Amino acid sequence: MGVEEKFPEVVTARLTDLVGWARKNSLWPMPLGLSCCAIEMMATVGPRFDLSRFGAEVFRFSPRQSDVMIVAGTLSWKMAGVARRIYDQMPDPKWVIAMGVCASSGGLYRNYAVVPGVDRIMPVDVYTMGCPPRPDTLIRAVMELQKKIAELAIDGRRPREPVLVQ
Amino acid sequence: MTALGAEVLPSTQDGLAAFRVGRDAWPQLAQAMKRDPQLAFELLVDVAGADFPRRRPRFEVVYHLWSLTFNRLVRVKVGVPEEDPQIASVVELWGSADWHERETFDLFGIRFAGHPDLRRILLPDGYPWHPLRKDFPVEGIDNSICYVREGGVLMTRELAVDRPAGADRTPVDLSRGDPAGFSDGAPTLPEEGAK
Repeated sequence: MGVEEKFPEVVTARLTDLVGWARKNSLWPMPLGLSCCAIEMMATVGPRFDLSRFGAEVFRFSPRQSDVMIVAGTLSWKMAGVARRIYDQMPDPKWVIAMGVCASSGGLYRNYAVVPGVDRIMPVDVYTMGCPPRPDTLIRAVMELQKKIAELAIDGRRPREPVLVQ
Repeated sequence: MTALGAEVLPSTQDGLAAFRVGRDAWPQLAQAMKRDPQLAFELLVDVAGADFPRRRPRFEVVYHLWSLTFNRLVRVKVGVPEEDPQIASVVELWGSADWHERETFDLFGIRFAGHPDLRRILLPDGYPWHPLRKDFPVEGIDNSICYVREGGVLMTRELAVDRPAGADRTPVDLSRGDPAGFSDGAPTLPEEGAK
């Protein structure tokens, strides 16, 4: 109907969809590698698992250039302030993946020194199970996040319900 | 050493020479151990704290000193009472004591008088407890959770913590026996020949 019938080389779409499509296929992760999960995270970016197939391979060590923070490992209270500051430095729109049980809930570290889940200090979009999760789990988490981003309103308003990847 | 009231301790399993000295005599002894050419303990390997809730004094600060000249390692224990958990700092003599003393302060609450910068080192500033004390529950205390404000400022506040039922653990109550067996710090060694 309409313009697409008249000009077959033209495709129409909602601007929101186009922006969402662009956003979800060029995620720039901020790796917050805190412990052994970081090793699996590195493997995920490597050639064997190849996260670049999903457009999320450009790991930046500057929060100013990133839009998704992957919290990979055990967050201690001593580190919590630093993590929150890094999160605050990331430009909007931004997302958080809690990789592994330590980041999701404190994991097996039920003690005075460890934050019982990074959602205590920042909003989390995707929780990931595993200790550590395999690279495929992290890829799955990125794919779930991409689904969320596709539904994102153009001004950054979004459904905030977190997703659990297991 | 005996002039300072040092008490030689029986040899432990590791065979290390050890002695105990009073808190007041310790600075003078430390000075001598570092400076006296016949002792020459140039290297402070380790400073640690220990908590024996039923002993008096309750705390102990343990130093490991190494003489590079004579290749000798020695252990010094200094008792510190609970009512006044304070001991002289040895940072002036051995620079390596700096972070070790901060750690001991952080986890046991023993203050080192004369330390140039006695801040917490492992736990966040403003944390209200000293968690390596025996009466501190390992999972922390309710409302003890720190939280982070906008801008990454860490502080403490009262925060209700959801805890699974039955997970409550009160601090060790020593009046009801001694389940953990730490009333007397000396571990019971097997009798000679009782292998």
